[in-house]
Amino acid sequence: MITFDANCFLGRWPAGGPTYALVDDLLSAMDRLGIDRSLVRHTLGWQHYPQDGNALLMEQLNGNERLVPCWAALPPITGELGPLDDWLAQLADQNVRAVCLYPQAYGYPLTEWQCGPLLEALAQRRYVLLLETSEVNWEQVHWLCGRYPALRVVLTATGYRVLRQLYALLDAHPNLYLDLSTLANFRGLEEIAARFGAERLLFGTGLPRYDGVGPRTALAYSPLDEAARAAIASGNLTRLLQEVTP
Amino acid sequence: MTPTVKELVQRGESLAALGWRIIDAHGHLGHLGMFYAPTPDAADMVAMMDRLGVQTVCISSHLSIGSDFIRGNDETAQAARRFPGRIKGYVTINARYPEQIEGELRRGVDELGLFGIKLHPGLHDFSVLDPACEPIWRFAQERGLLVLAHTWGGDARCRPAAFGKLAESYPGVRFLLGHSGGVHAGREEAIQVAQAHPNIYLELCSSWLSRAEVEWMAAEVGAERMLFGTDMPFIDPRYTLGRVALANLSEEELRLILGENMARLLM
Repeated sequence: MITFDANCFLGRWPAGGPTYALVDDLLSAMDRLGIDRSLVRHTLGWQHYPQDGNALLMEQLNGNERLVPCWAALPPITGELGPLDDWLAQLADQNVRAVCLYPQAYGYPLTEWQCGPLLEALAQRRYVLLLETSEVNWEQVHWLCGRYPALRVVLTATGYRVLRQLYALLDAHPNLYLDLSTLANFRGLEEIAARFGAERLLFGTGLPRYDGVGPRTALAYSPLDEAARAAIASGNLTRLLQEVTP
Repeated sequence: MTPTVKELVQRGESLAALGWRIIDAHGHLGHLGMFYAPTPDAADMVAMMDRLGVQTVCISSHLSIGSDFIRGNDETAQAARRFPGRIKGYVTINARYPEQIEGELRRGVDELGLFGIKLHPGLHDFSVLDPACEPIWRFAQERGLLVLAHTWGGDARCRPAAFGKLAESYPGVRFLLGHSGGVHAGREEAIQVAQAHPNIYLELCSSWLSRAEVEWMAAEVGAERMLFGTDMPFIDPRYTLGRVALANLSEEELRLILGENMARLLM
């Protein structure tokens, strides 16, 4: 079964902790877990400055075919990304098909008046948008998914204590997806697949903050049929990225 | 040729093929209020155990560690009667009800057939160092019982270091530090207190556990005093199983941690 990790980070953390400073560190961890490809974010894109993180990410990935970049973004009003059209052209030129936002870390509200032009542009192109659960609140996720139904919103590191909220959001928004990194509910994988469809779940490790063994083992032992397990392991994310129209 | 535990876990195959005793030292049962847990009843737990190759889970119901430890102990005992050999029960004691401690200990062990004592100082908001807990330790010492206590680094009510003095005062009690302190600072304390006291054991379930921490604890304390536990159905047992079974430890170390140690404690 091919595995494609939707949730991992390259780079150091300000407060220390498990780190892949080098691409080889990440590749070794992927090999140990039997992961074929990874959608990679850079810690600098979250903890320092998106543009610096994106540049370093591309430099470090250096075109490695197993590692797929995900760029961090900011609201375009300040010009920090450069002109929005130019930034979108860079995404297209470098074949970047996933973007992440960190509203909490960068101190802006995830609202229409703040982020509208960026979100509209990403939605028009059906981008995959990764959101760390700790960076947003439920109302923001509800608004975002409803206002931009063409965006594919992936909520990462949800934890296992929020199924009441997640079920309501999954029910309301077919463009919402979850990664498995910390979705450690007892039989949660199987129940979410049964209620909302296996296509709503993406294999994700949270490497290196989490060691990825849990979701890997949960999928290995899952009684879901082979097609559903393959979709979660890699098929869903592969399809979402293919459907982006940069 | 018998496959290794790592091969079985990587392939998602039952550990029954190993012929080992696989015992989950830390489970629960039933619904809980703080979040939605899908299918938390005993039959679903046993079905999951069958899939993984876990023979026995040692439980305390969510009700027992929550609002009503006495009704909760009845739930625990009922599940143990329903699945003999597959589910074993701890008698949970809430030290906030000091007048009921001794009676419930006797009822739990002598009438309900529960095998050990479960304490949750966090949810029940008491300190294990409170004199109100003395009857618990005396009973455990007299009967030679295990005590599984929730532990958490930084929580003065149940930080691992709090168990050092108890372990010294009650050498006949085997103290199982639930979650091994839960967070990194707690694990450091759990390691230190286990190194100092041979009647302290490290139980491993935690949503924060990593494979590297399992290896670290084994290096510092030794596999013979580590116990596989999952928190099922609070969290999914597959997460902890992977972290333990895929740790860089020998087959013998994994055999001890995954059940042999707990089997000896249950004798």
